[in-house]
Amino acid sequence: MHIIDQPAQQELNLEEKQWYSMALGDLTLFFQQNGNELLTAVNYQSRDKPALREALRKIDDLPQGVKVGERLYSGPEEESVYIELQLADKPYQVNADTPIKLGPKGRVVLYVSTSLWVQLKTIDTQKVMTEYPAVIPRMSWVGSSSIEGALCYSAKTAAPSELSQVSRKEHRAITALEIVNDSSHSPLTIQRLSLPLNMLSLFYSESAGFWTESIRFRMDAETGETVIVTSQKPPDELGGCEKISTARDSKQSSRLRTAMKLIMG
Amino acid sequence: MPEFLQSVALVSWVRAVLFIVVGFIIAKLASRLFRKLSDNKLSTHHQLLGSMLIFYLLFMLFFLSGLKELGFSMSVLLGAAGVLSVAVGFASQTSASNLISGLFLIAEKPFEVGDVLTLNEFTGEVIAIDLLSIKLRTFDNVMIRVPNETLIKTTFVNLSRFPIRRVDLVIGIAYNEDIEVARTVLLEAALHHPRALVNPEPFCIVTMFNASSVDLQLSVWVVRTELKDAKSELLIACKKALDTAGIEIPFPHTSVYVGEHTKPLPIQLVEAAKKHKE
Repeated sequence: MHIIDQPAQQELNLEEKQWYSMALGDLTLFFQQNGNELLTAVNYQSRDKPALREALRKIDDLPQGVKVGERLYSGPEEESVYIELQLADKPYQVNADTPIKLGPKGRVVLYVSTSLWVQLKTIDTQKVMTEYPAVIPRMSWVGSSSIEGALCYSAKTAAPSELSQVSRKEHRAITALEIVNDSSHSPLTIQRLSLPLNMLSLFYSESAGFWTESIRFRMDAETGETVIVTSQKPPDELGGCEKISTARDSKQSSRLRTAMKLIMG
Repeated sequence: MPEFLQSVALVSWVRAVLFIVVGFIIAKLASRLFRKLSDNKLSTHHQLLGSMLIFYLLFMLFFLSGLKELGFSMSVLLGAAGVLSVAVGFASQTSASNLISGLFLIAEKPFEVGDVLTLNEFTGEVIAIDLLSIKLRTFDNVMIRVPNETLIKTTFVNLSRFPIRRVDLVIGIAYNEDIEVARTVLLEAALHHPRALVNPEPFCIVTMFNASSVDLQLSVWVVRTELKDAKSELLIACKKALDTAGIEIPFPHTSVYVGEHTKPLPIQLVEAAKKHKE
């Protein structure tokens, strides 16, 4: 069993009975190869430094208080396991710090960032053996009432409209959201948006960090009608970004439209 | 009776029994097959209903064929069934009522297998919905059988119908404390708790001026499956937050006022009395 450290795609062989650790956001993940099993342990700790991503490194032993969480077996024939970074498994409800008002026929591009997840996947069969969020997300309810809706994650965001104002953190992926008010008469007020992250892919480049596909919301403030279009890639101004993981839910087209009913929360 | 007639009758009996036994096995197999095929496609409730229907329909077909094999005429049987149903109906009113109530419950579907119900003084998980009764398993692992008729007649609470629930915590603070500060402290504790949903937002209201305390109600929405843990953790978080802010949670106490028309209260100092005796 060996581990490829993405996105650098560097293949590493774990030494037998040797503990390794890697960190992303609040998450520190520990591994040890023990015969045909891979032991994992996790520890969550709020970090002072905002940008944090530590590559896999050797450590003497598990820190005090951290216990082995799982024993992983990849299959009857020892199959290789690798680390993949992924977006959240549920939509994210993004709450703007300050409500945003868009005039009739107005248009704005907002940048929002959400935490990444770490997955351990088998190379051949691409099965997820285990996964952990880089930061434990808060849950929220999106729906017209407390009986109709869905559970999703929630995050507060400043949602800057300038790319230069976006703070890039190594455990977060940025999504460019273009919001268009199709109404000719009424202004559109946006307090929260539901990002269908489970239907988006993750991209990476050395210079720009982690990004998802750009999304365009066309909303009509009068009728409430919303149409969503994904551009299949991050903004062009970032240059070449490499896709490092595909969407969890690849049946995008029909579901994306369903998800749109939840957009305005 | 001539020997050959006896053998003919025996063959009929054997065939009739065979029909019934084979019918029972086929009906069971068909109902199980339906359950397997409908797994992940239908709800447990509908699976149960479908499999029961398949079983009883198939079994009745084979049973009637068995009776026909014995020489029973179906028209006579149907006529007899009418008369019999009246007689049986009188004799088994309760069972019939339960059976019909069960059908109504299945159609109305106020709960499913796996839901948690509170019925009178019992709370438990529904483990089976049968034609005559439902079975509940309480959290201390006791099985309770509730006749379907009771469910139709009484009010029961389905605690697990919706994915989110609201936890209402009533917390009393001392009269000399600042209510607004206490409210803010409690809301902060709820807002920062990992199990509290961000939306719908938590809220805190004053509910009563009680005998020894001003009662505040902190209401927090949580994921239904985490309700028990969330309630306990939130109470701990509130106590800690109030302690940190130096806000007193009072215990019941009584203030005694002595007016000028009463005799002075006799006060005895125990230590002083002891010394005096010595």
